[in-house]
Amino acid sequence: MHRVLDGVDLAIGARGSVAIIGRSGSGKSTLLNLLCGIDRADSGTIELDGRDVGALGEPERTLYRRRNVGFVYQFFNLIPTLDAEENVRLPLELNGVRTAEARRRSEAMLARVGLADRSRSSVDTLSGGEQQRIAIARALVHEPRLVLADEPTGNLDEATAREIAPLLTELTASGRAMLVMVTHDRSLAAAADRVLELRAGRLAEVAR
Amino acid sequence: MKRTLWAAGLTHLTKHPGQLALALVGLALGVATITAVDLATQSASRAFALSLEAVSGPATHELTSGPAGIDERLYVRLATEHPRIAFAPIVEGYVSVGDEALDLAGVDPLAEATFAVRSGEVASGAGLGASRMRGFEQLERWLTEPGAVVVAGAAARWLHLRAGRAFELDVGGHVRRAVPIATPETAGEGGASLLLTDIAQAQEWLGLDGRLSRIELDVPPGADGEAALARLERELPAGVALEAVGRRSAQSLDMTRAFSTNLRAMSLLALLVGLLLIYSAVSFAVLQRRKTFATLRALGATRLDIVTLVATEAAALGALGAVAGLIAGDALARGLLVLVSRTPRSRRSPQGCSRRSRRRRFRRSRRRASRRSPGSSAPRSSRAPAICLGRSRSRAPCSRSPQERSSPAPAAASSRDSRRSFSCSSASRRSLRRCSTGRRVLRRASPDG
Repeated sequence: MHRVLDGVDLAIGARGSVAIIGRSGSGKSTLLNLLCGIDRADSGTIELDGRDVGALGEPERTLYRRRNVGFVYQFFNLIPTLDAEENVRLPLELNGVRTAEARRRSEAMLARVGLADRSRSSVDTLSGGEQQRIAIARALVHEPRLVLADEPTGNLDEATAREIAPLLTELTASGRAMLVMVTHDRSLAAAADRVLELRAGRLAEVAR
Repeated sequence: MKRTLWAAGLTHLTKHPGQLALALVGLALGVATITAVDLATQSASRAFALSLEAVSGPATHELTSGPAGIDERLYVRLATEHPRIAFAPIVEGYVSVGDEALDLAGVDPLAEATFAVRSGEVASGAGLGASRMRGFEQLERWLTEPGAVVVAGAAARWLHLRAGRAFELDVGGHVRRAVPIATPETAGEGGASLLLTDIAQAQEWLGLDGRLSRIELDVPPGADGEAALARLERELPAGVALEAVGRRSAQSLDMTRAFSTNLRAMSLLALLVGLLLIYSAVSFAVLQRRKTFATLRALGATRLDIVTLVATEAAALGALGAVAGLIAGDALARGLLVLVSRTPRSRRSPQGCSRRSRRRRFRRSRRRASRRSPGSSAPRSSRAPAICLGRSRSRAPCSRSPQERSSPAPAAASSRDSRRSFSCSSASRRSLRRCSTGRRVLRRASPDG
């Protein structure tokens, strides 16, 4: 059996942000999947606000993810059959927020990422930078405790990446969320409170 | 609630109309095929059963023989020697009018009259027997007019036939001239494809001189009837079988059952193909949306949410396809029913004659007839004075005098004695029809004249 993560020990304070860097295949995405409850660790514990995520059953982990976690993916992962506003509204409706209220909050969130005028646009018609802004809005609209970003600037050009990086960190910091981002982008990593490198299954602090 | 989740799942196929159309058309075709075949076979079986019932009439039993049929002299002998049982001779075959196949039944109106009176059909007005009786109001024409036929009203409309107007009849590739003398509406559903004519005419058309297809029996209920039937059975010549009418119908229906089963199996196969198409379409749609479903799961949609989405999509597709299939199946069944009900003869005569060539032959025969008798357009058979009543070709004894034979029959037809006295051979009636003198005798002997 191949051991991907071995003795990972990480504590993140409220509103803190952590950037994880490492080579491809080092286990960065596996770590994110464990943090959000998609995967289960063979041993060890993952706690959020004192609650052991690993001990939850599958339905409870789905609810945990729905309420407490926001995702930002490298390839945006927006729902192509929904428009921009509907994509942002989706986590709110999954959490049981009434449609009118959900619409109001999603419109407000779109305004915060600078896409108020594109709320009815099909996501296919938006640029990469715009799609990532929508993904950030979707990740933050339901005010999660934890935001996980997997290479959030990996699919963007340098100029757009420079716009997206502060947006992600500032919006997360303005809420009550912790941010864990996996990135190869040194400039994005530098914006985080801490930078950790994953090597041979273990996390090591990177001196700045 | 979760409206956006539903929209995320269910709008996929509407944004891929090709996939949606493929799934819907596949299922609709499958459902349409099975519906159409089921409706058509059921309708055809019912029509077949009704036809058998209509042809059988009130008979309880029947005498049958091999393909050569029964010698008509047997009928005369049996009718004379077994007064407890009513007998009705039948000559059957298939003919075509245009592209449509009809059952030709040659009946003896005088025997039928007794038959119907005995079974109470005339009083109740039900069944083909009653319609046969009404058709016999024009008995004189029935007996004397060449090609006289009775066609059910529905069939007459369907084939554009009018009473008194001659039409072409294809009998085994030979074109014959027939004249509807009545188009009664009482033939019922089962008699719609039945063409009735005099037994002698049917023998002439079908080339069954002196032969009968079968003899219907009406055996009275009770011990007397059973005893009479047992005596009859003992006296039957070799090769002639006595059987109950219901048994024959059941055998005939059994033969069609295998055909129906095959059709149903083929239609089930079509439905299976439709289901596979919908399965493929839904599977493909799910595969296409794996990333979407993964994102939804990451955002907090439960497994049940995703399964419900896919199942709802498949159910909606199935319902739409089924409704479209049922509508299309109903329309298809109407077309299939025509095809299933047709015999090969209705498409092409056994000799391979086209309709045009048959018409040509018919016109040629009419021209020849008119050359023989200038100024007359009547067919040869109606003009030929060669055979008169006194020179009947009858091979069976006829117990009535020419005057008695020429008198109108219905008044006397209700009694058994009169029925037997009228049971002269069909050959002698054929002579009567061919003899123009016979018509004059009929007119002279009629009470009005």
